[in-house]
Amino acid sequence: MVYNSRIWLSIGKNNSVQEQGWGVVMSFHGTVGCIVAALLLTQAQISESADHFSRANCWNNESLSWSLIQQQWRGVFSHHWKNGVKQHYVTENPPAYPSCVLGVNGDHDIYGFQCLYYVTKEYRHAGVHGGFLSSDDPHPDGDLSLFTTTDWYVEGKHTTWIKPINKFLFTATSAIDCNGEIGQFCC
Amino acid sequence: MKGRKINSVSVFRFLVPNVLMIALSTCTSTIFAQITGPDTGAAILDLDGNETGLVLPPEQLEAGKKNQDSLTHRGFVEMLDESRRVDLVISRMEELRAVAVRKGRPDDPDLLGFIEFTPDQYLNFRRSGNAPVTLDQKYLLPESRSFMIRESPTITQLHSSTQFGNVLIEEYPDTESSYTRPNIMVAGQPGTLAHIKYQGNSWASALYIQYGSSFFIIETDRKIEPDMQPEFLEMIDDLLRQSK
Repeated sequence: MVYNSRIWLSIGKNNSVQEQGWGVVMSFHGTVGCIVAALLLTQAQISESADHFSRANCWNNESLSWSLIQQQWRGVFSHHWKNGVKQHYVTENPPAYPSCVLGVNGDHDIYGFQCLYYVTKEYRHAGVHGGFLSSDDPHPDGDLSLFTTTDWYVEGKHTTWIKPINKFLFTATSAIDCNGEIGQFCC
Repeated sequence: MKGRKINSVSVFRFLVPNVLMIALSTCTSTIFAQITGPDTGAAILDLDGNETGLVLPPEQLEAGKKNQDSLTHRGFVEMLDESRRVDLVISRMEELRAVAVRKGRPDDPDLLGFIEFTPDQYLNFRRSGNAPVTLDQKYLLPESRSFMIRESPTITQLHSSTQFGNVLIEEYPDTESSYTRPNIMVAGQPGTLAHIKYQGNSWASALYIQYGSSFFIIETDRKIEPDMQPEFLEMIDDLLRQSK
């Protein structure tokens, strides 16, 4: 039996695929950026099938998760904080500016236009939100400005439904301080 | 006696709109509660009671409510359209193993998605503070095998050959949970112990519990009868108390 320590270490958030995906995502703005980034990220998943991540970031406000084994309903949602005030949810109805990529491998079931997905034994399933927080796309959250916007961060979560006891779990994927990035929207 | 004359028409004009308004209000409240309430609605609320924007399919939500009621009133849950989860995990691991073998890399953890570990190897990692909690060795029979499965971000472990059969441990780190009716206390925390009847009338027992910033599900592939419950709960108590 071979014991491989890399597995243990990759349980954390800093695996190589994630860092690669992060760099790609940060170079895009807006919906196009989100969709392209999502596609690139899913490609990353496909190329490294056993890897995993779940996260939110300042630009695309995305949360991803998938499961190797379990069949569960999972939903992905996220929201912004700006100047210390919680902004709307990305998944509000109608979605303000959504981008939701589901069931990357095609074997999936979704319910309506939302990032709720049924995890099957096919493990390349993901939900992605986002596409605003961009100076290019006028939006209630698109008016971030240097020096005046403070306490800006994006909090991503996904929820897992535990059917036998009808319980919802809310797992924080990340909560990122974005203030250091605000110059991206300026000048 | 002075006063405005009250006739049947004015009574009618007064009562009918108000009765209708009350009826409408009651009806609207009922409908609203059904849509948004945490117990009856299809919309998924977050822990602050705000809508997440996610809506569970009504038939699924109905099944969840039925399970909850069954657990309360009958002491067990029926999931007859689903495979027992321990069996599902073992089956999936076998599939992954077959793929790895077919590709000529039977021990490649990137293909397998899981690793096998022994208690002594595990202890080395525990000392370094990097490993998640797991069962104490005293609960494992000599022939037992232990596996760690990578998911996102769940940590899933499978231990075979315990006195409770195969034991599946799922830890959801950085997770909070919605309220459900607890029926047991373990490690000083309220939890829910459920017996589950799966497809093919196969039984399982599971404990669901929030401990610190993690949510745990510990599920067996046999029904834990009342006489075995104290030992089962002691094993979980030991497990949880390792958690930071």
